[in-house]
Amino acid sequence: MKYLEQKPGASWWTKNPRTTLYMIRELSCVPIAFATLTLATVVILPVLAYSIFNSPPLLNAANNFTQSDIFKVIMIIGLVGAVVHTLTWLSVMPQILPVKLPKPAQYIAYLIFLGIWLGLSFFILQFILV
Amino acid sequence: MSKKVEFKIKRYNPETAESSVADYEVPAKDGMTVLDAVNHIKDTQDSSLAHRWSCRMGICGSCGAIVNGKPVLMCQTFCENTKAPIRVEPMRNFPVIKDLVVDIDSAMEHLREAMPYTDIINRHASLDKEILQTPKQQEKFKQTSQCIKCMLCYSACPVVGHNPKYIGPAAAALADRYLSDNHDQISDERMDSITEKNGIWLCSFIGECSVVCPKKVDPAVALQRLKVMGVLHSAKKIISKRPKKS
Repeated sequence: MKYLEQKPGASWWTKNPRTTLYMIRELSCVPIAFATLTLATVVILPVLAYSIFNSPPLLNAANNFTQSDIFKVIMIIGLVGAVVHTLTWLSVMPQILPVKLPKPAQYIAYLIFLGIWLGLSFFILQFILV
Repeated sequence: MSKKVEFKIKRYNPETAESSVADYEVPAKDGMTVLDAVNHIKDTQDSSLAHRWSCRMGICGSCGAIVNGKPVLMCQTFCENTKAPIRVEPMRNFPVIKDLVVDIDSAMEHLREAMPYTDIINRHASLDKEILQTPKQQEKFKQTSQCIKCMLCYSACPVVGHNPKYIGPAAAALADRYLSDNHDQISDERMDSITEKNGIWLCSFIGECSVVCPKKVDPAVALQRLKVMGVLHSAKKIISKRPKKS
């Protein structure tokens, strides 16, 4: 008597559209991480280097790169990914609070979280635009 | 001559360790479920076919199977709404004993890890006094109380498939049910149990458990809530262990 062991294969996530979507959702962290690293490398590090070593060439090179189309594309992909993840996270948040909220209160909590996120984003944007 | 529905049922013989797919034809009837058809096959065509069933009304949770690729209760799946040929397989992520019968012992053991009891008799100081529960308090665990332990959620969960030691969706839903109960006396012990190495943290929120749940228990959301509670519980433990300043 031998039981038949059932293990999912490496392609388990291709069998169902929802699991495929899940993998796309998880993999979307790669372009977001890439966009964040790019931003850190071409903006934050050169500014830090300029402020410490007073070296304009690095800052100029970084400035030129931020004007390029490839930088804009990387940033747009990163922004779209970050917005999708934030919205999905905010929509789940009211449902997973330790204090269980009734459905109408969950919608109100979602709107409050959304408002806080938009407010904070607008606040940070003011510093970037300056 | 009445219309016939074609079935492809996955068979497994534990004595020879061979699996195959057997073809059957069942006369179609109005309102016939997949379970009715499988019973018809066993009664009239192949008595060696093994499957589990009991109540035929979505209460006992015995007749879980994969029908056309989806984990479902066979008694709740109507042939007229299912594309033929109807392919019936045993639940995924469990060892197959024979044909459509799987060994769900491992998942049942995980339910123990959720400590599904309030322990009110042993822990409550004054049992002489009635401990009331309002409808509003009952509402908090009404949804998670609907679980019939059919284990379709374990069959749908890829995390369970890759790591059978993972506590799993039904156990988490059960933990959430008792943590939401105002009678509960052992919430700290339960949180310790479900936040261990193979506990709730392994859930990656694929959400398939909630999609397939025939009782709309929503274990996926229960798991995410438990993760938040687990973080708070761990923080509470760290703070309470910190030595006090003299």
